[in-house]
Order: sequence, then C-alpha cells, then structure tokens
Amino acid sequence: MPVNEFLVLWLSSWAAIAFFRIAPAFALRGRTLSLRVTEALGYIPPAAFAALVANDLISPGAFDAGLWQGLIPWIASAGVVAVVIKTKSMLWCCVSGIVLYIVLSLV
Amino acid sequence: MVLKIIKTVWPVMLTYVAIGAPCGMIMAQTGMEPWMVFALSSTFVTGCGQFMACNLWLAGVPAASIVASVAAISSRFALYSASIAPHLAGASKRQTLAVAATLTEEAYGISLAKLIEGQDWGPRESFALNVILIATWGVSCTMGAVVGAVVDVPTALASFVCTSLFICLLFSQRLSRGDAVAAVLAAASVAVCKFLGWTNVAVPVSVLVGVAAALVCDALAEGRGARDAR
Repeated sequence: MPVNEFLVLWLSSWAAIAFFRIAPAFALRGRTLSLRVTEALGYIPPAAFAALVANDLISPGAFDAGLWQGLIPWIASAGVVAVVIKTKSMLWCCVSGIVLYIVLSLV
Repeated sequence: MVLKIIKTVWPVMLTYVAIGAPCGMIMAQTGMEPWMVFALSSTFVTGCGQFMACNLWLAGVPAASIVASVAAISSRFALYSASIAPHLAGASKRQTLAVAATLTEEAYGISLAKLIEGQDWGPRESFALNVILIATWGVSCTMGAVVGAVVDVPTALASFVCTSLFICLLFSQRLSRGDAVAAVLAAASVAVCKFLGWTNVAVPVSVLVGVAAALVCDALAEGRGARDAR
C-alpha cells in the first residue's frame, strides 16, 4: 500500500472515529441533564451489550455449515448466561465460554 | 494500579492477542508495512473497522467509501461516549479527553461497571485500562503482520471470548423492565438489520432502537400509572 494512500485512509478514518469518541463526552460534560436524557443514557449499556451479543451470534449464513455448527455459539452463550447468573465473575464467564465452545465443537 | 488493572482485564488482553494477530495478518495482505499496522491499530482500536477496511481495500473499493464505512461502523462509539460522560463529572478536561479518545468496547464496559461501583476507580484508572488494552491490541496486530501466516489462530473461538464478556456485562447488572425492553429490542433490531444487509450500521442503529423502545415503554407505564391514580 503506498504511503500517501495509507495516510489518507488512516488519518481520515481516525478523524471520524476520534470525533465519535470525543464529541459526546465533551458535549455532555458538566451539564445537568434532564430526567429523560439521564434515563436514555442509562438504557444505552443494556441495549449496547445486547446488540453486541446479537451481532456476534446472528448471521444470515450461520447455519450454512450445518445446524449443529450454527447452534454451537448459541448453546455456549446459554451456558455463559448460567455462569454469569451463578458467579457474576468476568473471568469465569470468559473461561466457561471458551471451554463450552471447544467442547461443543468437538462433539 | 497497573497490576490491579491487569488482574482485572487479562482475559480481555488474551482475547486481543488472539484476535489482533489474525487481524494484523489480514492488514499485511493489503500491503501495509508493520509501522502502518501499528499506527492504524493503535488509533482505530476497532477489530471490525480494521477487518472491514482491509476487506474493502482488497476488493478495490475507493478510499472515500472505505472511510465512510469505517465511520458508519464506528458511530457506536458516540453512544458509549455519551453514556460514560455523566460518570466523568468530576474529571478535568484533559482527563475526559484522555478517557474518551481511547475508549474501546471492552474498556467501556469494564470502566462503566467500575465507575458505577465507584470504589478505587476514577478517570485515571479508566485511562490506564484503555492504554493497556490499546497497547495490547496494537502490538498484537503488529506481531500478526510480522509473523504472517506462520501462526494459525482460530478467530471464531477467539472472538467468542468477547461475546462471553458482553454476555457477562449484560447479565451481571440488575435489569429493570426498561433495561430488558432496551436489550430485547436492540437484539431483535440487530437480527432485522443483518437480514436486510445493513451489517455496518446494525449495532448503532439497534442501540438507538432499544433506547427508544425503553423510553416509549416508560412513557406508556407512566401514563397508565397516572390514569390508575385518577
């Protein structure tokens, strides 16, 4: 990749990403927010985490390789949900997720 | 402080190594030098944005379209930044800039949980956490680009660690009715977006759908409560 093309791609994209990261934090910094805005901001974490989980699990071509292959991440996720409810531990969730995924892949 | 943070995030660091290495290999396929891979990885810090940029570049898509696609997929950071802002109320301008500019998804989740807990955690710790994860990601991508095809990392397995982390962050908090509505509708919206082919904007659009649905649900509940009171 030529350096000048890389610089255009890198710096333009970085500017956009930096804007999205920085602007809201400064726009809302030190402001007294209305109850509705506070409520809306409070709903972002559950919506974001659910969207990220769904984004990882849902794919239109997920079952192309077979029903079992498509079900592996769903079953492993259900196992992780059980672990988080039981332990609330980030470490155990990650470890159990990997172990479940490997075991299910070997079945 | 650094050791305390590493104790908390080492599973995420291992995930970054496992995902960053193949990401670096793909970046090297576009003809990027290791210094380019390091510069881009340690500033983007978004696996999907980097994978997407490389795939589009290899497909011969013009740079302007790649920048627009990366911007679209990165718009979700605006929501994370807005969400974490109230918890940085006591931070200086410089601290706010440092934390916001280095925000990643995993760091956002961990920092938010810690800031809400409030014990021994502030903007300095959040920034240190971000820097540790960014350094891990940047070095992993660069190592992947250098090592190339020698190492075969199962990316699906590695990325499931992140899925597990997000599941943990979602279910470890006490979910109110509004939270549950936001989560379910956001997940359903992701499914709809993906089947419509709107993969690039699925997450930010779905977060907005989830939040809007939760607010509507609250408004309906308040209206019903007011009617019952009368």
